[in-house]
Amino acid sequence: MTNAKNIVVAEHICKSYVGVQALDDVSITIKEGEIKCLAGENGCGKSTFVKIIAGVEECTSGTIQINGKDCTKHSTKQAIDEGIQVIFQDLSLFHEMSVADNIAMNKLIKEGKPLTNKKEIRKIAEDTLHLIGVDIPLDAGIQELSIANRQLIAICRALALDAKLLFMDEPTTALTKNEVDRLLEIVLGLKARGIAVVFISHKLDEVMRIADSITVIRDGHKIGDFEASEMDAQKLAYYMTGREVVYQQYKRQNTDDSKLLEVKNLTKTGNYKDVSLDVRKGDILGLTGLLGAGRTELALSLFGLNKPDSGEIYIEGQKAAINSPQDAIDLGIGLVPEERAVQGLFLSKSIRENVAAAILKRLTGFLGNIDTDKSRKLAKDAIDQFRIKVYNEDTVINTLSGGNQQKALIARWAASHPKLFILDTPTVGIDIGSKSEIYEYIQKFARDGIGVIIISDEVEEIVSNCNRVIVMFDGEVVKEYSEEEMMAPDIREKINQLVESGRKNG
Amino acid sequence: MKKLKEYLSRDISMAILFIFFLGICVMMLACFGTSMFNGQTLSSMAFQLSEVAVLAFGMALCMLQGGIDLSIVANANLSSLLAAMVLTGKFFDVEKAGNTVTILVTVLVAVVVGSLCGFINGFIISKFSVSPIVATLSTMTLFSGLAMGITGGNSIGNYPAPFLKFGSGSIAGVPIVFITAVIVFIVLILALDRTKLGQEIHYLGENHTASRFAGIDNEKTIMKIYTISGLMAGIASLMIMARSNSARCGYGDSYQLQVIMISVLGGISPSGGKGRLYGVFIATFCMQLMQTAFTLWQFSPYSKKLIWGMMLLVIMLINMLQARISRNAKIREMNAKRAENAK
Amino acid sequence: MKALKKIDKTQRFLMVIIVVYCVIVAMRNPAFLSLTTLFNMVRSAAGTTILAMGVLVVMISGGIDVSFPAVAIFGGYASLRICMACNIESLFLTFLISIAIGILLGLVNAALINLLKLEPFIITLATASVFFGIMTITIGTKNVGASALPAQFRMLSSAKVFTTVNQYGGTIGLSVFIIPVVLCVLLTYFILHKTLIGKGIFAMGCNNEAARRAGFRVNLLRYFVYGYAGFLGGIMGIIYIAGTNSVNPVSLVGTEMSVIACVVIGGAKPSGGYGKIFGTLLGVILYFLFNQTLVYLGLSASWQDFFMGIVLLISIISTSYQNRVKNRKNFIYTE
Repeated sequence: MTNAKNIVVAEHICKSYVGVQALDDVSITIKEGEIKCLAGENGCGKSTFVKIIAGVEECTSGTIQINGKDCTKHSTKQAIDEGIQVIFQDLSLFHEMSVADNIAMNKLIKEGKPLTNKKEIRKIAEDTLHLIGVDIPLDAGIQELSIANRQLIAICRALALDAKLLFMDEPTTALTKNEVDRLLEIVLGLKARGIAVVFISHKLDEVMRIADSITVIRDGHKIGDFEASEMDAQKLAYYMTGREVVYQQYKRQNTDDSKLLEVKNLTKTGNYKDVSLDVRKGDILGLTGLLGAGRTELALSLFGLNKPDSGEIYIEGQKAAINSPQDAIDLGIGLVPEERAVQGLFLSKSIRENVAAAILKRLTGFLGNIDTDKSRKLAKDAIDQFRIKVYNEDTVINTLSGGNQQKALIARWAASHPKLFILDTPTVGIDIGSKSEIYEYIQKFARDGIGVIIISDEVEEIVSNCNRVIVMFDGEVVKEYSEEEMMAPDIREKINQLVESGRKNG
Repeated sequence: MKKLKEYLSRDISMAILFIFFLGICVMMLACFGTSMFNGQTLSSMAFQLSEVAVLAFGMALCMLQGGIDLSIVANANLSSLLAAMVLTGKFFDVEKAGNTVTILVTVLVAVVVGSLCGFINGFIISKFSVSPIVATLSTMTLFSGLAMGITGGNSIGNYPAPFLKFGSGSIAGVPIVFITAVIVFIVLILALDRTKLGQEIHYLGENHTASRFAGIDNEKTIMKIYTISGLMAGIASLMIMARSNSARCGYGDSYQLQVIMISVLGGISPSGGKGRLYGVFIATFCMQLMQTAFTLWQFSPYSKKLIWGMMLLVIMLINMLQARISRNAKIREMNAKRAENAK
Repeated sequence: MKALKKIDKTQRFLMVIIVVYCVIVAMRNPAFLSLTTLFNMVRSAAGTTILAMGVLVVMISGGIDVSFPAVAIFGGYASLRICMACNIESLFLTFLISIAIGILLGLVNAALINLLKLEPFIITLATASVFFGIMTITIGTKNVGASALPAQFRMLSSAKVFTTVNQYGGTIGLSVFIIPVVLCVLLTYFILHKTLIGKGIFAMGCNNEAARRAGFRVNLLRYFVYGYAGFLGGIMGIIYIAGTNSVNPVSLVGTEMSVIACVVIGGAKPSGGYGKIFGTLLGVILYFLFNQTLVYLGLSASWQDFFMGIVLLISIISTSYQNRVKNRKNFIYTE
């Protein structure tokens, strides 16, 4: 393999956005027939790197050579012509168009024939679907498909033409075990034909087992290239996060065992089924499981954004109807959402306005007038309490780092004095320093008697912060770990195994 | 002065507007001399700009929230027609009711019809998720269609003298319509800067998903905004009636473009979330100054439209360039800081 | 059966409305069911149909255009004045001039949208005034009577594809306007469904970013889309001028909303990515049914916009609401 040709040589790539340095001096070489894994935590810049190679974004500085040609400022079309195909994390499908059109699209563009032929399109689609052995109706609209099938369509689209280099950004998140195995087989077949495949992943999963080498990126910096054979979960976690510290496990001290939240047989078709759980004061309940397991959907139901079909929710023993976020807030529920920039922050507003957003009602006077002094004081307190690094409370929030943004968001909900605090993947894309601070705040909330629910992919995060854990799979609760079970020394491995084995044997 | 400078450097679109305003004043002085700014021209300008200003406030509110109200002029015309029918005795005997009652009912009809039409917009947009452009385009067809159907395209005029006083009268030399516009302006400014609703409009315009997740009732807020926008149309309709002594369904067909242009010139971003209402008020003055100049130069209505259109494009171009420059500056600043840290 | 399957809900809804309306009108006034009505409708709807095709393509690409009446009248009127000034009698040249102007103005629209990256609605609203203003300043707004029109316009106006005799013994005929209309519809169908560009137009309407990532040069496609709308505007300009008795260059502006209404009623999604030619044609038919037959119901034609508005509202509310329900399931919240 040593004398294999280089397909992509990227050197000293830097990319800055306003307020963020997404990539800083990253150099990566990809060889023919190589299976590489680009690993890093969410938000570390690995997806940005792929976008730059694919010509979707332009790098701020650095050079890129593709097949020996200088392609530093290349277009998407050029990248495709050079044989680069990407399966983007958001899949980038065309929702109003048919399955056949979606699959054939990239091939049509690459060939560049001005006229299209319906028969040909169907043939391309049929052949590729056959290749990975799935059966999806060709005339179906993308909207009618499940997430797993959409992922398969995106994979088919990239496979439809003879690529030399295939990037797959988290391609297996929603696939069943069989589909993953089939995909890995195909990838090995591609490798045999000299095609390079780069997986982008944020954890050690099955795709990494067939990788030749692993490149780790952290906070926009390249940490190093490693042989896949010498890598294990602990090492990878260390390289990705830059720490080996094991956090002190959280223990509940509260003696009031009455139930703050009780969910009974909650069901929402297509999201989750027959979920029952309870949270006491001072509990930190961890919700984990694969993507699409129904965790976020459940959280949204508790926050009034996803009406359940059946089942009951009780808050402090009272049956509650949560039909809107306003209802949830009135009942004392706060939610730090999954997507910070989209669902959480008002990016061009000041930190004061961001912190005040959830408690406008409390700041409002007799005539509907907002008490600015009060909101200013609120923001100042939040900055002090959560050690948010800002110049003053009028600083615009998109100039802050991810960690400080997340702290501001947590401050917003802390200001609403919630009884139940739900945090959906609270530390995605956040530096280690802020991460441990956030853990500290979460545990403090719980010690103060707030019930906390943390949704997370990271087993380490769950184990060190939660005194009870629920593992969900395909919308159902498969296992609940009690406080005693959580004390077991091998609890990390247990949860890890359960989550991975949870893949549907479809 | 120093404070002003500091303020303007913070808000670049306001600074552009300010320069623009001064530029027009200087240009007008150069072309027409100081005679341009005598009491008479000023007061006639104040008469003319009031209705446009009020309509522009309504439009600006919608754009601030990230929407747009294309039906605002059609709404004003429909309101003025229905009010005119009341005023001219189409619904009840005006003689018997007396002037005071009739005028009160007229005002009430205009305001209620305007608000109701606005509410319909808000309802369609918030409850059925129709995009604001399409929704208000449809209601525009509906409102003007209704006005057209009722009147067959004829105007309704000849109102009683006391009502016309609203359009032609002055208090201490200041036209009543202008005073009305200023009052409306002050109320709206206070509402936007100081109230919960105003804060919610800003949140919603910036990021409607985040505002929903922060527990703001987006749907209710949107309905309120469009109802207020409709109320503006209702108030403007009274001004139009009283000033022109008639109501007809095609009145002010260039207003729509003007009102959008004023909002954009006033610093309201067409994609929502950014802008201040006093920018809109200053922009209205700019537009009226130019309007007066065009009249003195005897421009045809078509050349006027040409200039409005050009101006809208140029303003958007300037805004784009300014955004690009400030973004690049920020990135440069960041890189410089990084380089320093590396050392 | 297969053809029926392709027809979506909106189109079925429209067909039902049209049939029911026709039955009502025919019951009130049997004279409605005649070739005369049909031929009149074809003649008066020709221009709108051509413009609607352009709007449809723009809307599928995720944009909107309100400048096309200005483009059409600019092309048509400039062509007319040039023909009058230079004594051009060639029909081909007449169309060529108009089309060239139309395409040019369309490209200007696309360039501005690409540059400013703002809502196309606001940009084309501005360019509409600019185009129209430039036209009135450079070539004026003089009315041209029918008798003063150059020969090729008069020919175009009166020529018939075939003629027949109606029940009163008068001669009626199908205007040649049907030919450019059919050609434009076929061309639009061909572009949208048989070419890579067409796939690109749908793709960019669905998801602009994804289209870019897939390798489409989205900015170039936008030039094509608005240029094509300008091209159709140019054709329509000539037909419009030939179709009216006295050319008043100010009259066409202001009709943009009704054309957009036809397209939206026909089921095209204003957010892009979806639209049907057949639906658009149904929308145009409905519009001209109201236009020509409200009189038969004892209502003046002034009520036309009102009825259009109601149908438009029902149609957008139903499609948007279905979308909203679908989006909510995927946790996309729209107001």
